[in-house]
Amino acid sequence: MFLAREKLFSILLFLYIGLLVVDPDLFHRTLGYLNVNALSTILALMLVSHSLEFSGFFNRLTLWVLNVSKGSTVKLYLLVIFCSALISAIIMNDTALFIFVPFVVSLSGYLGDVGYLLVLTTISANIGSSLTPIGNPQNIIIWQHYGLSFIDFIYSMLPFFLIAIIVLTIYSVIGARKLKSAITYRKTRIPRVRIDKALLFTSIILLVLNVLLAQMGWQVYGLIITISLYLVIRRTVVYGLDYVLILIFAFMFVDFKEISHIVDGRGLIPSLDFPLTIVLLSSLLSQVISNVPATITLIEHVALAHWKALAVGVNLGGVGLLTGSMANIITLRIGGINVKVFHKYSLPYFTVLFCITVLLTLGRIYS
Amino acid sequence: MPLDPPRVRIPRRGGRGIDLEAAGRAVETVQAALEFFVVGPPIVHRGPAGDVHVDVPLMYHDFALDRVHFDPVLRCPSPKGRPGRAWGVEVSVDEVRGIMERVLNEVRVVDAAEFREPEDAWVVPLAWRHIIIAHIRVSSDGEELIPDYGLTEEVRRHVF
Repeated sequence: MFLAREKLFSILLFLYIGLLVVDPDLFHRTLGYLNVNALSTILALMLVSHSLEFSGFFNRLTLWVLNVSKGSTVKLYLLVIFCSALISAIIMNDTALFIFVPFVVSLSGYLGDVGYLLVLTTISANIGSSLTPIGNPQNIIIWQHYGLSFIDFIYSMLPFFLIAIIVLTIYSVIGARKLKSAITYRKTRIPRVRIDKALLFTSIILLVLNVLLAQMGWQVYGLIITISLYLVIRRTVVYGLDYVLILIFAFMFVDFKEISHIVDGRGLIPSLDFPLTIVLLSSLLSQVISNVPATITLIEHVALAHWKALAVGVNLGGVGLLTGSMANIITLRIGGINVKVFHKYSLPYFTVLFCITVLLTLGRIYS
Repeated sequence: MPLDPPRVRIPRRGGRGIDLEAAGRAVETVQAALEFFVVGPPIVHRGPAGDVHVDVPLMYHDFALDRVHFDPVLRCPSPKGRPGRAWGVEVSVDEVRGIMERVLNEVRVVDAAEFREPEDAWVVPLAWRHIIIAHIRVSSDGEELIPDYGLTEEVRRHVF
């Protein structure tokens, strides 16, 4: 029952068993493959992001977006895109999508077909999360692995973020203008959801604290403090988290580090000394196996000097095909759009951004 | 000219009163929110005896407010308090979602609320035809919706 319900976990578990058959020594290396520091940060930030969302604070933001757009479809599209991009830079892209996807779906009564806006929102969450080390799991892994400074990470990723968001803005405006549907704005009262202030302020403090502790290399302490404080303030936050997701990340580390080990032993990974090779390989591999596994597979082969190319590649690889990022699944499941519609809108954007990124990498912008 | 309803304060344990006008505000709040309600991903529970029961979350933006029990045999919502169980039935999640989206268009807000003291909240029923299918919780001042946090977590888990 459990395995049937948790399909992604089952795939990773069976992959682990398969890898054990191929290489029985994996059993002894399993614990060594677990990146405890990165897993601690991911878990702590998942708890914090989740609590910030559950505080109800972001619900007010969505209502503000609706009020400020005042009937303009283009304005609404742009506000949704910018807000989801900025929020996903702070609270992880999947949490941002849990806020914005249901909001966009609820506008279908005004906008008609919201498939295009749903895909734009997903892209903006993926792109926005690329800006900071805490925006998504692959950035946390890269930040922790190379011991980068929080500020330097943001500074280095800023060009990619800005270019990607400019391209997305143009893409959105063109698409929004083509749509015949306009919002028939009615000055109606849109009820608010209750804000849990204790949860909101505790979560803001814990977010800052976890970033500081992770920067100092004390990730495990950050996790212990986070869990302890939530157990005191709101224990349902700790009980309610999807712990299978942590097992999924743990198995991702083990499985894909082992795959990397096997592939490397057979000389199948090309030399990753050039930024363009890293960007191409990491973005295309992300399209096939998703960006977190792609990061884990490649990170040991990419030198510190080229971390930016890896970060750009795996974040670029999160858009495009549905498989690029786990966050994309949220749009499909909560938004209820089909795979064809998703790819109809996401692939043209990916193609344009991919070409621009390749050109800028050749121009040493992402070196 | 109709008289304004009297503002009655009923003493409660701990000395706090209850504003009965807030019941009207709670109903208005749910009525205003209703057009933004959407059907969440149906959750199919399978029991150890092979029984199936289906819950469909009602979402308001990023929060689930309550679950509607869906009868997989009759292919329509079950009354609140009677989750429909079935054996040997194939459930199409897309079909359930489609039916519930049509049902949601026919749902109306019952023009009355009950107060639940332990939760310090008003509860406003949603009716479809002649059955109550969901309860929407509203803060004691009648102004803010209170999500079902447990169900919201369940929806999140179900997505992956």
